[in-house]
Amino acid sequence: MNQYEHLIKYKKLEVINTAIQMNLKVGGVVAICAIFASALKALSGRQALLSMTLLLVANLKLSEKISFVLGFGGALYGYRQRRLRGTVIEMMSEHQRKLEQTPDPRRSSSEITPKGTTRPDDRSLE
Amino acid sequence: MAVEIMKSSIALFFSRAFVYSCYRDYRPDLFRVEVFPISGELFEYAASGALPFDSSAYRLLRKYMNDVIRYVHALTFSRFIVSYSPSAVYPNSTKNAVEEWGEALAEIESSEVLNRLNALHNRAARVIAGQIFNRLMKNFHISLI
Repeated sequence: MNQYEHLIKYKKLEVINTAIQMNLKVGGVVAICAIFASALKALSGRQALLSMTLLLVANLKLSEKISFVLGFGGALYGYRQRRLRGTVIEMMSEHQRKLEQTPDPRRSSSEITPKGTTRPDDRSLE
Repeated sequence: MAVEIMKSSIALFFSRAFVYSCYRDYRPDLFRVEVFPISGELFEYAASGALPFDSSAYRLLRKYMNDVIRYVHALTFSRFIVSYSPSAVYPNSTKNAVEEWGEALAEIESSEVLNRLNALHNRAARVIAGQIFNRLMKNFHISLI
C-alpha cells in the first residue's frame, strides 16, 4: 500500500469520525426539540401561544428565576471578559512578535488570529 | 406536567448551548495559555545561547508547539487514534514524529540541553494529553445529559 492509498484510507476514517460527532451534536438538539414539541402538543388546543408563554413564566419559582438570571448574567460576564482578554492579547502579541524576530528572523508562528483565537478557516476541522 | 417538561427541555437546551459554544471556546484558550509559556521558555532558552535558533531540535519543537496551538480545536481522542493507527499498521508509509524528534535530538551533544529539551517536550505532551482527556470527558458528560 502506497502513501496515497494510506492517506485516502485516513480521510475516510476522518469523514466517518466527523459524521458520528455531528450526529451526536445534532441528535441531542433534535431530541430536546422533540421533547419540547410533545409538551407543547399536550397543551395545544387548550392554550394560545401567548398564554402558554405566560403560563411558563408564571410557573417559574423564585429560585428558578434567580437561577436563570444568574446563568445568563454569568454567561454575559464571561463573554465580555473573553472579548477584553482578546483585545489585550491583540495589543501585546504584535510587540512580542517584533521582539522575538530580532534574535530569530526565521521565527515561526502558530498563525492563530491576533486575538489568540482559532482562525475562521481552521474551524471546519472542529 | 407539560409545563415542567417544557421548563426542563429549555434548561437542557441552554446547557447544551453553553457546552457547545462557551466551553468549546474556553478549552482551546486554556490549552493555549498552558502551551505559550512552554514555547516562550524554549525561545528564552535558545536566546540565552544554549541552543542555536537554526538547530533542527529547536525548529522541530517550536513547530510542534505552533501546530498544536493552531489545531488544538481539532485535537480529539478519536482523531488521535485515527491519526496514529495508520502509522502503526503501515510503519513505512508516513514519517514517524517520534523518530524525527529522536533524530533531531541525536544532533545535540550537551546532555544538559538534551534534558532541558526533553523536559519541555514532555511538558507540552502532558498538556496535550490533558486536553484530549478533558475533551473526551466533555463528550461523555454531554451524552449523559
